[in-house]
Amino acid sequence: MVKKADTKVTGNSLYSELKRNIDEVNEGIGHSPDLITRYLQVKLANDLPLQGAILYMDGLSNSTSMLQSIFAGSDDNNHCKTPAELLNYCKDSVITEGSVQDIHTFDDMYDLLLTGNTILLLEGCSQALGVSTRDLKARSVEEPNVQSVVRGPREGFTEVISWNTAMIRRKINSRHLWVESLQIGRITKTKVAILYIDNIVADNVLQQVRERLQTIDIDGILESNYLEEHIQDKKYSPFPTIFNSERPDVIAAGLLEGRVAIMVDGTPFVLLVPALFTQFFQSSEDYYERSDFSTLIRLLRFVSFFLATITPSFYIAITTFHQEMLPTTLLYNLASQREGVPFPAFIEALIMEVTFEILREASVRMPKTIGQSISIVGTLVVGQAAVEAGLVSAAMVIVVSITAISNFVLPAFNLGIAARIIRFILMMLAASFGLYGVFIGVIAIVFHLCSLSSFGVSYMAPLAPFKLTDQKDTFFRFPIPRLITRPKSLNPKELIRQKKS
Amino acid sequence: MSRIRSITRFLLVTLAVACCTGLLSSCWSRHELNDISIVVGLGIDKKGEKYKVSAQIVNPSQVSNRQGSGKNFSPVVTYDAIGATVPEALSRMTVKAARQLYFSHLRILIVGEEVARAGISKPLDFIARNREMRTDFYLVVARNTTADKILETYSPMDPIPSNNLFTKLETSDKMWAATGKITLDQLIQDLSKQGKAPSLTALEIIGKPSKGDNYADANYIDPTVTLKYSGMAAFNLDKMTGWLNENDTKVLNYLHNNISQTTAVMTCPDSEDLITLQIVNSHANIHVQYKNGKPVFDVLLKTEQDIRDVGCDFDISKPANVQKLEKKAQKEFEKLLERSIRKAQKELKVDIYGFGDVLHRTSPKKWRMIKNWNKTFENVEIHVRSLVTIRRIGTTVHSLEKETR
Repeated sequence: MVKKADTKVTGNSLYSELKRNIDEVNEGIGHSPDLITRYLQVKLANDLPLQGAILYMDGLSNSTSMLQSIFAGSDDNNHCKTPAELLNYCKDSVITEGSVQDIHTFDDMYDLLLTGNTILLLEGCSQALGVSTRDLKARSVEEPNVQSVVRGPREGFTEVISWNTAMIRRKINSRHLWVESLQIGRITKTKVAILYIDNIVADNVLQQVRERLQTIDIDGILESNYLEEHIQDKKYSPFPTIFNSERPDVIAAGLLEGRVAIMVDGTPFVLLVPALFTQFFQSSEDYYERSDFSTLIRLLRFVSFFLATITPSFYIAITTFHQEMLPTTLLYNLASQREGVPFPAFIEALIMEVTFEILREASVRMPKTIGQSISIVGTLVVGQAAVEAGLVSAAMVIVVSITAISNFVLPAFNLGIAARIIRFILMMLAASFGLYGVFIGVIAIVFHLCSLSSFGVSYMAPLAPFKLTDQKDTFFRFPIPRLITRPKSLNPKELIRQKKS
Repeated sequence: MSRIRSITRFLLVTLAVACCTGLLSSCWSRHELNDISIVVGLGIDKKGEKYKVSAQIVNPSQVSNRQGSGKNFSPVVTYDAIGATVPEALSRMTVKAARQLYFSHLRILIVGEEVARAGISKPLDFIARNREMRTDFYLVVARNTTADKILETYSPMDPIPSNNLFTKLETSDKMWAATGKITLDQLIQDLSKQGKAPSLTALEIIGKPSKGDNYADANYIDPTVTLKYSGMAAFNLDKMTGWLNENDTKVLNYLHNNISQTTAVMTCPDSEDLITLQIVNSHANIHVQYKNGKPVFDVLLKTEQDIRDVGCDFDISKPANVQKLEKKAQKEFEKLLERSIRKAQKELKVDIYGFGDVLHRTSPKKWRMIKNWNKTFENVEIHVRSLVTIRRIGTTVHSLEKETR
């Protein structure tokens, strides 16, 4: 309630006295030292001097060129009789910047001031100009760190939303690429952009995106995950139902398939909806390498996901419940390795898995300069010392390593997290019920997957519901001339993407 | 609020269940690998009215080549126990063996000769009934010795004697065909068939048996004691009646189409020197017809053979000569088959070849009229015909014998 009253006071229109206006702004912004006020003298037609001022935030805007033009222009402005006329003259003929806006209220003034505009105020005029003099201090376009490729574009999104939209525009030169802009965050007033290709995207998806974004009422958005968790279909699921990428080519490809991209100012990670389960197994590089190779790699990723999820539980189940399933000589080997290991296989696996997770988390968080030491400690501790100390068996180290490596094969990091979570649940089931438990768990996961949907599209599409035409780009990646239609599961307005050659 | 409450309740219940499954996992049929004794060989002997069961157990740390396993213990240990029944004896064995016996990886089951003669169905009931027993182990009969003696004998090459026996049986069956790989399910089938008597491979100890149970014995280049397969044992129902020698066993395998490869030796057509033939393909067909209401069997054995060795001056480059060889081989085969079949009819008096089974399958009505098949089998008429094709003569044409002359 206090806040509301506050905005009401500052929301009123500008005064005609310059001093009062400046005092008001200073008051409203808490005398913050980064608000720079520069007084200047201009002349009216009859050579009467007039007091003026420009306001800008230090570091956000660069008003040098604006000042230059004002000083240069005010010398030969002999026709303006009133301050208001002079202001209009400045707006129309003097200021060389691209975007100039009239300001009548303090509210508008704060909005513009705090997004990097320079405000021009004149004595005796209850109006001001907001000139876009944004000076962005941002990271330049760099190669993405997380989703790297061998062949393909090397550019990644940055933290600046306007650059990001520009990068997409540069890839899709069509007037049908539409951008909708909105502000989310009561305090941060973060810019969010919805991108789609107007004549491809399915209306109901777009409608849902708009509706879900509009219902968000939060104080601040600092990363796209804030939005992701708000707009995702199911809150409690290990599986991500929203895809994210920091690669413009991935987002552009998604838009061309009829998806909707959501950009958030301040983060290079752009959301893409609707997201399907199989999409998380696809890397942009699948389309930059030949189709046979891509197909092979894609199948490998599915195998890896399977391995990353069930290897430890499978090992536990077989060695503690179903020894008859092992080849006899392998059984001798495993049994001899287990001699003298004090813990049950489940605890053994848990020790190793938790150790590995700790190592991984540590290597992500620790300063890069000492990153090497952790890998030495890690390999020594996990790989050798634990076995030699008799804490775990050598076979378990192999199992955990296979699991860990398989996890990194997945191109989408967030699906890897799902595999990590499920792995522990399955391990518990394996320790209690053997293979029976593992498969009950797997069946439950399949049920869960089938129950998910992303913005009205079944998560398991095009597998369930089965779409034959979409199989060309699911497990396999057919040659590009054969990818004639867009994914049917996404229900695009225009299904055909290329003419049969 | 109610939604939050239901979610918290759901989470609590899941958490409780998860904790319980983790902690209470003393579950049914769960045993860690170091809590079980892997039984690889099982022997059943008679001790008076009771059974003496011996089990060969692997000591895994001595088998796999893991570094720093330290002291040299024996790779296998054989325990024995006496009980009125086999399962009782096995349960009693737990006072000697450290860990729970685990039978799924059993490789070989040895039946003592005495037990075989007294009847194998009683002791084998447990084996067939037990959940842990797979049916991929082989059954053999100890010849002139007891099963526990065999299980107390080391084998060179393979640290696990039972494993050694298993692979030995597989290789010899594949290359030589004078043994029989009989698994439990096959034996049970044969036992339940009326027209076919079961037979099991026999196993002998060669050398001084007492020496075999010291591991040091495996250090000799010429082992003082070896385990050797020698022919098969023929059964009448579940009781052993006699031994089949090497040739009988081969014939048995010929007639059951179990030959993958074997060797046959015969004299040259015009001298006493020897020629060796390798049988690479063999197919036997038994046909029944009726003469005066009595069944008459025609056996046709088709074999493909390669010449392996020629010991005489005989020109095999001429097709006519090769045909001559074929003719001679056919006769030899007919003789071989006839001799063994005759032996089964007159000496053993059991139909191990399964002629009755053929009759049963082809004309079940006539089969039902026969009261005692073994009695009928003794006097039934069996004609043997053999067809030999010689395919390859090897990489030399003339024999070295001829070249050196």
